[in-house]
Amino acid sequence: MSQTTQVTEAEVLEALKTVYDPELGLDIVNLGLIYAIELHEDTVHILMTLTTPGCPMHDAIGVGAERTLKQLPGINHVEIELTWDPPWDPSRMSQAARVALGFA
Amino acid sequence: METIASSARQPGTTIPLRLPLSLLLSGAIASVLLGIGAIFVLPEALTDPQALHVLALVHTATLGWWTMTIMGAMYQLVPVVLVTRLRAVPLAYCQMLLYLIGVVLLVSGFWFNRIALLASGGTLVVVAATLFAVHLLETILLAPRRPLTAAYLVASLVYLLVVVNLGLTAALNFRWGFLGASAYRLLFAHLVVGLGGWLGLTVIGVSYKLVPMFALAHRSSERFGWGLLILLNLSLPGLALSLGLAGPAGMVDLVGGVLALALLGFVYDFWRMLRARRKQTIDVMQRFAVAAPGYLALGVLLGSAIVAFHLDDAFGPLWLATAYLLLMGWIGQSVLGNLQKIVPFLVWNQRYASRIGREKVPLLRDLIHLPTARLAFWLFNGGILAEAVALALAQPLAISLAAIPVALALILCAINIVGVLYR
Repeated sequence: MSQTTQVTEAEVLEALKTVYDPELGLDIVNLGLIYAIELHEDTVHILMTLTTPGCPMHDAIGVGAERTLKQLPGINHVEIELTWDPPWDPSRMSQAARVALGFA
Repeated sequence: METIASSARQPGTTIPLRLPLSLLLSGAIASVLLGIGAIFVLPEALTDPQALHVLALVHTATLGWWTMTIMGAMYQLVPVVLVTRLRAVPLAYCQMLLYLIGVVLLVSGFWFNRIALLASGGTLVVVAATLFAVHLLETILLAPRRPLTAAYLVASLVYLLVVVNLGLTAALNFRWGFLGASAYRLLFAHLVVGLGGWLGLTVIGVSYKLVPMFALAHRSSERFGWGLLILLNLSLPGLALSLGLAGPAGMVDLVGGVLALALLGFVYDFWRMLRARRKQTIDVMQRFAVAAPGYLALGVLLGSAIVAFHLDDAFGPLWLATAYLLLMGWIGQSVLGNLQKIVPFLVWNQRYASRIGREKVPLLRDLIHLPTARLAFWLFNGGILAEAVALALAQPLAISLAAIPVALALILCAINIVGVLYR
């Protein structure tokens, strides 16, 4: 992960924590959907996945993330790249997410 | 890898809300009519399972509630799940209109014993179902990915094409009687293809997508599901042909046994999916879909016992109880559960998806009135079990009484689903 703008990766992650999966009620960071963040000048590139290929929330979550990041100061361009490699696995979830889903 | 940008999201995967929603709400209305009608009509099934009012009731369920719901759900979910687009949305509107009119005419034809309504309604249903099946088959077969669910849906759509034509043939035979004494054999084939092929394979295929998605049940292999698909597609046509063409009893027993094993195999695989889930809490809408395979197991075991020990004649009380468990307990409850997940998703997607990242949006479960859904779940399941016992014991009054909680549950679910539009 690189960092060349005034916005930090931590701030990007914090912003993405406001984007929720409306079925699970958990944000995409704690769900472990964010694989990588690259910051370059006024552009942020997010490599992310979804819990399942063909997730009906595909557009809503991706566009929600894009919209959220565009609100960060100094960010004018947002690229959301969706990947299935590696596929999402529940082990990627945070402890808080595990507790929320009842299997911690 | 896919890139999501504001100007370039999956083109065409989003269809106008009114197409699936019209079908889903029509299905919910049909479920209420079925629930109320069953209180008065179901006892008739004891004396004459092929009475016209009974047939009207059965087709309100199969063509009305279930098929309308499945059509609405498939129009919405197939493009999304397969990351493709419907080939012809205007055609889908035509199909929907023809289908809704056809079902109303057909059921009215049964209810009022009017052959003209039956023939015209049946013809419209055949045309509309054919349009639907061909359209969806093309959409699925041209999609960039075809997972296990898609394979089940391809098979189920082919069975849909067959079952509506068998049904129209049976309906026309009411008037002209050209099938003579073999009419009942066509009815058996119609039942197997419709219940097992069209409705059963659709429910199984959709379960393989929705259960892992909603319960976070990730598994490394779908090989078992593919194996079941092969077994089901060998045994279902085998049983339909054996019954329809009066094949030897040994053949019926053999393919029937394979079918029973395959269905029990699905129940086992469903249980494995649930065991592998990461989301421990099963919400009340999912409870319907989770309880449903239990009735499949119960129905298959009861049916197998009837055949093995010669416990009942065709259309006798035990067979009626078995059919009720399979139809209402498995198919009906699966449809009910998924309906209560899909409608909130559609409405949420239309109303709130564009607000993510701008403001706090409700979760899908916030759109459903959960206490109502919980009450409906217990009323439905209590009623189904009571009804199966009442049918098995051939008690007309108990059959009517047991139908009341089921009707109440269906009314509550319909109110809840309509309520989603206003939350």
